[in-house]
Amino acid sequence: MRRLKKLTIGLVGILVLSLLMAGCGSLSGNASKNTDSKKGVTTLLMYQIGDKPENYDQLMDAANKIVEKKIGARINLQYIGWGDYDKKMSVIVSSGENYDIAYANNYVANAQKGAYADLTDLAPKYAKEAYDMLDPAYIEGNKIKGKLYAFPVNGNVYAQQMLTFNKQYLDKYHLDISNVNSYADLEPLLKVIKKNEKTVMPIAAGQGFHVESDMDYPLSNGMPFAVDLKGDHTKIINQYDNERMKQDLRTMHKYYQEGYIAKDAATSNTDYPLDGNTWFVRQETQGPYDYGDTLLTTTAGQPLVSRPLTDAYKTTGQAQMANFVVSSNSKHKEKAVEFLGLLNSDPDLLNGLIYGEEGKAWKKVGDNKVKLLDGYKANNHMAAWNTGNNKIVYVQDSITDQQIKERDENIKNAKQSPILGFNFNTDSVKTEITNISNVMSQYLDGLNTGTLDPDKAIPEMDAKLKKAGYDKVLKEMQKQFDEFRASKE
Amino acid sequence: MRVLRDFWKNKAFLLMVLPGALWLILFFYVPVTGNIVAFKNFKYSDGGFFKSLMDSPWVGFDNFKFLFTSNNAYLITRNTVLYNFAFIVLGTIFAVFIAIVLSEIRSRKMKKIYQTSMLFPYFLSWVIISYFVYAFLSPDKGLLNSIIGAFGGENVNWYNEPKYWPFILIFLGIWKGVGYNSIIYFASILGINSTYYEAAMVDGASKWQQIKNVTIPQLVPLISILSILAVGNIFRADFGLFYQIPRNSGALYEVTSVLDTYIYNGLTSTGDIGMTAAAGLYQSVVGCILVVGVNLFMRKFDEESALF
Amino acid sequence: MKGGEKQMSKKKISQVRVQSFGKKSDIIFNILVALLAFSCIFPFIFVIIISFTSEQSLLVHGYALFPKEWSLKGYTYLADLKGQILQSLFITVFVTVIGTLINVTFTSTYAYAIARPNFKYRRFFTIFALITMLFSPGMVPSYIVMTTLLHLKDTVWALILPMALSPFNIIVMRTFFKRTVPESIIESARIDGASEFRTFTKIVLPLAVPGIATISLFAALGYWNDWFNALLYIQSDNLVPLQFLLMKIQSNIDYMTQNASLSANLSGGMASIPKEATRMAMVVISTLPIACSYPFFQRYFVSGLTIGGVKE
Repeated sequence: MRRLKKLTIGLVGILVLSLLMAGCGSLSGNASKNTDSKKGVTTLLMYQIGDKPENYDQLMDAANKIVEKKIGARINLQYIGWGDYDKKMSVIVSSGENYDIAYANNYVANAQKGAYADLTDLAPKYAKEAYDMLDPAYIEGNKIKGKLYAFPVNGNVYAQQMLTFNKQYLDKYHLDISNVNSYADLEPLLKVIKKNEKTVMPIAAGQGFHVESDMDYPLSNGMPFAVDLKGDHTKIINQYDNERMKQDLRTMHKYYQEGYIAKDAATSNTDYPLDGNTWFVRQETQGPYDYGDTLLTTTAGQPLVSRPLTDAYKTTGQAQMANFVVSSNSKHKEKAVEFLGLLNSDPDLLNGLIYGEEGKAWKKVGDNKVKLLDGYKANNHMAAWNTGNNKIVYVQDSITDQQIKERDENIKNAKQSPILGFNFNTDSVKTEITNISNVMSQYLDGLNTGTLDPDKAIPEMDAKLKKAGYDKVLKEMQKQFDEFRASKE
Repeated sequence: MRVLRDFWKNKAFLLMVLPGALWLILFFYVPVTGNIVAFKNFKYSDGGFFKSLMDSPWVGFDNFKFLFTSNNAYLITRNTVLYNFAFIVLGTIFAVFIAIVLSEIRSRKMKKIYQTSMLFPYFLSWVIISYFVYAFLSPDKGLLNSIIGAFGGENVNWYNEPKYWPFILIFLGIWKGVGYNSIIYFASILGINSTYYEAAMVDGASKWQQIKNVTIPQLVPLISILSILAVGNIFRADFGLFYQIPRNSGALYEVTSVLDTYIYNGLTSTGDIGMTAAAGLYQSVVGCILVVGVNLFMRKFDEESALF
Repeated sequence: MKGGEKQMSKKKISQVRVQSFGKKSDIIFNILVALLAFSCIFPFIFVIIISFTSEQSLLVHGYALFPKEWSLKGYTYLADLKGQILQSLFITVFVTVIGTLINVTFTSTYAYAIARPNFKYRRFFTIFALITMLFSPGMVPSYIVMTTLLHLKDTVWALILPMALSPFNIIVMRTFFKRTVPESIIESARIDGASEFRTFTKIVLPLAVPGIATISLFAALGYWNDWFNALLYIQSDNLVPLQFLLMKIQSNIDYMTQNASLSANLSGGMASIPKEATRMAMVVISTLPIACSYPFFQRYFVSGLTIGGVKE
């Protein structure tokens, strides 16, 4: 008994100690302290992916002032971390918990199951100005059975896969990249790097690396369903049976054997930091709002140059890059859409979030340009790509009017993927899809990092896919795709 | 009337189980009804999860199909069961062995040091252990290959050689849990009434005989009960061990695919809660049947070694 | 050690350790166990070393026991989060202590009741607890119970309650009660007219200290290592427990690495973090406190055990 008492006393002792140690440690949540509802003002609960900015309170105070004045609402913005977002949001969505606006996760599946409010009529009505500014590809790419369930962030509507080079090595060895247009063209450059730089990995590739070859994917680039953008636009194929793709995979396999790719690439998640000098060439995705290599170079803090690997296409993936959805359980659907409209059309509101406090972090120079001041810090603002309409975001003063003009031209001229807006309904083939994902997870990293010999591995994989019910899924997908194309004409 | 009287007679005990029983109802029996989703094609409707659940159409056993139609169904089931069987048998032997040795070691200080150290792997997540294993097995930078190289041997590409992995996985699984699992047995040994040992000493029993005739028989009921419980989870594999440690290497699938990795690889792309629930239910039902069976079997031998 | 024993015998408690090896086998087994213990602690030492290794040296030479270049960078990033880490440590300690107390109380009373042969419904309640170990209730419905039924979202209770009972510990404890508390003692207490509760607290519990210590330890470890409940239920920064804080940083790092081709868009302030070293530094920070307090627990644990093993 005495021992037991001692044990209890010991435990309580630790507790008291820790209380003292933490000093001001508090036990009640602080997440929604500054969003107390006022009379007549609706508070909208909004979930956003990412890290909370350090000056969150300040940013939100400024934003809420504008929002309250213009539409009589306040925003309670809750952040959920990058890695946790999918899990937590899927629980919140499935449980039917009340929220108003959220950054969409698993958009197509949730929309098909009815988790989101139908915005087809609401968006043009309550967010007209912002809605009209959207590139048409966004609306088309987000329609599911003819209905729009999301308000997309207007940004990189098209994307291109680039090979990005670390410029310091190009200069050092006087390498010319103007003729590099494919993986195969890299060979002489890689040879030089491999020979001279012992500590540099010629190609930065690890788990999750994908060989890109002008394909668009109805499901995801990890599944063996694709449309060849340079071939027949009406047919769904297995990209790994495509000769061009196979050729690229063979090239990668050769590079792997030559040691241009890490020996353990298929099982490695080594990170090659953008700002480091441990890599020579890597793959990056770029769109119009990257202004060539400007954004990349700024982020890296060292000069990088890129060469396009694929053509620019407006794809479903790009259209769904950053979607905001309104919950079907929301009690303030109209207000929520109204807010999304405001966020995507009011430059003061949006730029205040994306650049931070005006006058301290940035000042306006000219019509739509900003100069960043010393107060501009990494974690003191939000990101443009997943917050609001990039068209009304002020650009940094280093970007010329010429570049802006080019940007708009490029957007206008970019081709549309033939499957833009085709969202496959998996209901009737769920079992097969699960089996196929399992087969793919066995081969995906091995093939794409060049670890496996495509001429041996692909036939093996195809045989397994066949057993997993590939043909049934392909048939169903082709059927839905044909219907989709018919409906568009 | 009689029921009430019985209740009254047992009121003290009923009061003791009350908080626990309430917890079980609230945190298990209420939410467990959600498993019905395994037989439904889940669609949202206004009014929250349970309302949606009721409105969603029944689909029978459709959600279970993916567990059996795969060309690997046999392989993954076999792997799961065999690995778990190895963990139950070898894990228990090691845990009991260490508990006995620790209890017999003379220096109390060393005893504490050993026990504390053996608990360390328990704190490291599989992700961290996978980095550590990688430091050993990495094909070009790994410690093991450089040792092999130093002795003139040929480098082994560990993540491409299935034949080594059953040993690696079983070793790691046991290694991580042994410190934690031996605590129960250790505490149990120290709870054994010392008069048994005194009596054995008087009879002139050697150390080995004491262990064989006193310690182990005293541990049998606990060993048996914990093993029965473990059998209930024989269809559940430790996801981290089988996914993180082999780094999802395709070449090793033959020996590293287990039910949980299969479910994970299959469902992350669709995220279907019906199928997720179906997989869990399948694992539970099989485990449940096995537990009842094994328990019946144990009851025949020794009432006290049975779970219920 | 010897001094301790002398003191004990003075107190007239028969503390003679009949259970211990002879000298020779003691040495052999010591070596054996020491090797094993070393294999268990070695990774942790390695983790500490990596946490002090510079990122450049990791990339070029891989993990090494004696890295070419040392660095404190892994810790400097975490030092920026000092306030948050301290607050999280406080939450974790609070949850662990309160949670363990509740867990042990609930678990041991439940286990005692179903261990008693004169409890009429013991079989029902045993199976009632047992079933919960075989089936899993599913994330979404549990979430609904916590949020809409109990309204405990974003409170410390959301971290404590989901683990406030442990069916596994109930079964372990039931076995302990059955095996270490002789029926005759309870009978005699009853004849003396003690109520069931009095018998439980005054006679049974002191005898069952080894078991209580075991399940307290299990419960404490469970609470300390838990991050999943925080992921589901916690939204406020000041309620985030240590493990989840570190988990969050780690999964952010992983997310960045996996989406490497979007680096320009994603990396806000994350770009320049030394990833490997930070990861390992986090392991060190989250493990050291509980590992250091374990010997402290153990003092009660081991000494409690020897008393428990002695017949008075």
